[in-house]
Amino acid sequence: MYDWVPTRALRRAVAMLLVLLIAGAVLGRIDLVVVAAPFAIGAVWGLSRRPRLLPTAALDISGDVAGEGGLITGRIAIDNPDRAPLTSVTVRSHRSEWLRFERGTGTYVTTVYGGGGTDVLLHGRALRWGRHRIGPVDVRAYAADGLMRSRSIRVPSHPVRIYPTTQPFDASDAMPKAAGIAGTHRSRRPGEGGELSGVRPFQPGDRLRRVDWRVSLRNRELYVNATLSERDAEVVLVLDVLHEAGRSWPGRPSVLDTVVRASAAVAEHYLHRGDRVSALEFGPSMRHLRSATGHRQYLTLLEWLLDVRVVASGAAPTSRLLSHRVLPPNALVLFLTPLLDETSSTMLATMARTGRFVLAVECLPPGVRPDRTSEWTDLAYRLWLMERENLMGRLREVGVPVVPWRGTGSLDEVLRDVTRMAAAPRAVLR
Amino acid sequence: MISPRTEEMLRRGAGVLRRTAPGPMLFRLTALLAGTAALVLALAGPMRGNPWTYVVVLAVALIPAVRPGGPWVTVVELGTAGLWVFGDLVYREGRGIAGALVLGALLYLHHSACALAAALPNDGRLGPGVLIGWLTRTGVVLLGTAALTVVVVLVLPPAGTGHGGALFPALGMFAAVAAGVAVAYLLHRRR
Repeated sequence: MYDWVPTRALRRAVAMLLVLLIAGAVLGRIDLVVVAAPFAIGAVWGLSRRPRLLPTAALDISGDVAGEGGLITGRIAIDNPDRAPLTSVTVRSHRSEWLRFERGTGTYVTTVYGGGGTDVLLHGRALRWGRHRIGPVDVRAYAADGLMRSRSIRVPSHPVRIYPTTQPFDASDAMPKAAGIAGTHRSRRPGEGGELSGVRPFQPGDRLRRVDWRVSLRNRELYVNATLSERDAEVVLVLDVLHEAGRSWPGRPSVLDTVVRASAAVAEHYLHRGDRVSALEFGPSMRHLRSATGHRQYLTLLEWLLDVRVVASGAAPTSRLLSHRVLPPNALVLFLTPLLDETSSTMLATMARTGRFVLAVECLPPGVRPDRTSEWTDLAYRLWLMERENLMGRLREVGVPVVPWRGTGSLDEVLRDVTRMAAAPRAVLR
Repeated sequence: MISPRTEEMLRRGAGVLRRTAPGPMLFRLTALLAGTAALVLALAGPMRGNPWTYVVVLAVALIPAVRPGGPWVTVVELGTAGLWVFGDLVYREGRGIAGALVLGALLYLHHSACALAAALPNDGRLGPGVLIGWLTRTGVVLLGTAALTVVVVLVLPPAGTGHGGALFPALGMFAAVAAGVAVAYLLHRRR
């Protein structure tokens, strides 16, 4: 393949030149030679400055990680290694629909001098979480006053990771059951913690610094302060990715946006407190993030959330979800769901019947409703809302609290209820 | 009632118009004006008196402006030159070297505007260097043409004197063949 090829304009110039010169010679008309003269001069001058080397192009993005609404900058660098100037260089860059650029994307046309270069600056913002791409960039150059055209140069696209914004979330200290051997939650077992559980007689092995001298003097016998051990808890985030609803837009989240942002917020809260958090997709792919603690797990989870998407597949989630390895019995399960699919509500009920501490976080954003397609749409929508209320009531009856996601403190009351229920004896299916 | 196909075409056309940037339109407008002016200059005899001629001229000049990358540009330019010769041969209208110079300048302006317009995407945002570079190059070429014309007028014997004989037609043929061979050679050496 040739790097530079003649354009139709060159063929036209040559055709005009030949026809006019031959006609002028045959008819003996000097005026036709005069008419042909600019074509001859233009073609000769242009071709005398035709390039031999292709221009080079590079896409340089400063930082490939940002948060939602974060700034993305970069540049498309075009260099001309040849001495001949380029009449016009067309730079056409593409981008993901969730990246909005004030400048730099679209089609730019510029000139590049011989041995010189030029930059197209990119400046924009990310509108939505996820893995997005800037590019590919197509570059095509014209030289010799539009008589020669380069072959197309394609710069591969550049990936950028946009992490979800964590909506403010806080929950009081209410966990149904602590699971580990260290952590921030009080357990019901005595141990080396900071929470005072009572005073008891001294036993061999007790440390001297735990002796309560005031009580010991009063009773003429050694007494020590007994404390409760501190445990961490495990939180399992189950993300319902069976359906998407609503149109994603800044200030107007879709179901998936709400699920992902709520997951990030809840995970940040519990990981910051030292709990273990794992995540699981409730969908055909059943992606699973193993439980761990700390800031590293938070970053891993954010990375994991970037790949959350609704997969159009008829395969129903399997019962693997209920295995002890994926869903430990003592874990607090936060099921983030829009409650749009019967499979989700069935799974919630099954989890509750098998003794899991499960909480349904309803992630259907307010205002999401179907497009009005007929006069029956409004009525059908109202019926659907009533059915939905009924479904939530039935879930509550089987022991699954349903709470809409509203950010800060929205889960407090329900978590307290779950804790209270966890303390009570219950019969479960095994 | 508009058919869905027509509606789709209208929608697509509206989308193209919405995305169109002013820079590429400037070159198309230049091509339209230069093409119209060249055709009007080439008109001869009773053609000039008929107002419908100008409507046809505008319609013909519009085609290359709309499709600057198509073969119609060549057709219009060759047709204009043919009309010029036709008017001279049939109606004996001697418009002189100055007229030929103006016609050559207009045709070259049309040619180069179409060449650049074909290279520019409709939605392309143009850097200032594109327009300035084109104006400079075209200006230099037209100045060179004017200088060459002056030389030709001074060197060549006046028409009808009989001087020169078969020399100048032979030179013209030789120049045409040389130009063709030179271009072919240059393109053969491309990389």
